[in-house]
Amino acid sequence: MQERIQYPSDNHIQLRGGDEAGVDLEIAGLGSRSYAYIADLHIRVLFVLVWIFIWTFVFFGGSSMFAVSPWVTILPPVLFYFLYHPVLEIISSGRTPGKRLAGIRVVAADGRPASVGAHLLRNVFRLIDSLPTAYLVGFTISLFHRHALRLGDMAAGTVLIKERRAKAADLADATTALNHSSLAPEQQAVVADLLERWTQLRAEHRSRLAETLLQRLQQPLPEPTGNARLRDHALRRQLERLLKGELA
Amino acid sequence: MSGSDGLRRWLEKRQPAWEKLARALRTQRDNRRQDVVEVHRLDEGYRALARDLALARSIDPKGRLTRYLEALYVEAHEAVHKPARRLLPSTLTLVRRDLPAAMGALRPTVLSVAAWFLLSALFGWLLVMVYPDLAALFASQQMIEGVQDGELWTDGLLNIIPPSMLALSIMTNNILVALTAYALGALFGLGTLYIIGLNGMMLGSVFAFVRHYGLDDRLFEFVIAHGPVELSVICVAGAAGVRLGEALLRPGNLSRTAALRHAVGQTTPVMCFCVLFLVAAGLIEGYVSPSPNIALGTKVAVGVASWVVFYAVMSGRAWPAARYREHKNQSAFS
Repeated sequence: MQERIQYPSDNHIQLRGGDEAGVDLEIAGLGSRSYAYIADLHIRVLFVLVWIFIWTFVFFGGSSMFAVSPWVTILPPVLFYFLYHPVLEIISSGRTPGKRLAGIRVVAADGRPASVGAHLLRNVFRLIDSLPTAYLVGFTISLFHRHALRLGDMAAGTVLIKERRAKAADLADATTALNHSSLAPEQQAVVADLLERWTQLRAEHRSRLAETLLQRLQQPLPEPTGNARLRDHALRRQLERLLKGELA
Repeated sequence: MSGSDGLRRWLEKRQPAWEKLARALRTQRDNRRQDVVEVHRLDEGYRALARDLALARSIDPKGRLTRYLEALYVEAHEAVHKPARRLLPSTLTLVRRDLPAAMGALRPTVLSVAAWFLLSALFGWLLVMVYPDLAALFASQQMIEGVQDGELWTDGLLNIIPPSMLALSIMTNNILVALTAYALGALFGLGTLYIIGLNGMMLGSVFAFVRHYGLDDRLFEFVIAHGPVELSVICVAGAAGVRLGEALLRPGNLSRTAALRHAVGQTTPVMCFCVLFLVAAGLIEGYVSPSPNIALGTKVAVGVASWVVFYAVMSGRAWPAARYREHKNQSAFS
């Protein structure tokens, strides 16, 4: 815990296992952090509200408010509200429902799962980070910190990273292309890149890019049509077939 | 392309292994109880994957296969390196080894903070003794009027609030004060000293104020059962906070961040137990202290006994040191 922690670059930390090459983990920014926190806050507040509603109905039903012990009426929502973050982070290695939603998780600075003590600490420091109101201290500090850390993360030596999930479909796509496509791997990567961003690009740009790419790779262009939308669709189809090796 | 024939053969051979590893990781997430063979297989799969990843990178560093294998590697790494969950042994190590060690290292700071607390209390006491009007700084108008009529605000407490509610609200409040006093130590210790000083002054001035009206023995009767543990916990939490500030001011050979992290690691076990003892003190303050049916002698006995337990646990005197075999367990906090 005492040695200085080395971060390889501003928005990544490196996960190292043994002597093998490390994998970069992307650090989650202020946006994902806030998103996760707000989502978690909704869950916590919702639980407390539901609990209050239930007991309000019971009490309006005629029984006295002190007929039921506060250990039943007040303790559970208080515990839920304050222990939500530390307990969930500890039992699911740095994840809470809100963090899952934002696709992030808490790890130690070396990318490994953080210790129980670290999880407790980063949550105790919410007391300062949330000062004076609405997480102003934590927000300001992480705004200027190059890893977007709040005080609690600095004290506990933790970082929030973007979750990477290995999806079976990704493997299938990659191996089909490597097995059947006539293209070299780096050419496949360019085509796959374009397809990945297809929906984010404007139609005329992506059509022009696709045409240029197909020409450079010396692949046939689809039959010319008068309709730009049909043309756009045909170009996408052509690129997909190229990756799957369905083109000659 | 002869190179891609080799690539195809490699993919054909390795793809099933990756799919198997991905499946194994999923079942491992759902069900942590596994036999040794399965765990061993997972570990082997993880090591083979590291070699495959290096190979895939040499073929196409940013390709889709590399990215898939990297993601799988991150998942497998987490599964392999997740610390084992041994709740009982690591709690025992915490209580018997880490807590006393941390308290030993903290002892001089605790004494200084206690001295600061007493000094502030004395100051508050003198202040109100000399200028009785200043009691308004620390007590509400309602409290003052009650005392002027010869009634302590603790007198009818249980007629208004049930003991459980009282205990809960006191507990929450005290835990928040202790944790804030601790965490504010990160402001170079100043926040902690402010909170400790403020609480000391409040205690001193309130006692001086009720003495003015001859009610100090009744306030003492209210405070004696829970006070010893509560005040000790506040001093210990304050000492832990001061340690954080000291790490920032005098980091020694470490960087300030590293020194802070080190101090934080040292003081976490202490803070966990401070919170537990505040729960106990809150229960006493709700059920014992305000009760008119419990004799003064009993209250004093409760106060002394609870403080002895507090001292024995925090210092480790409660456990025979020699008989405790050093476990290889890593504590949860290292």
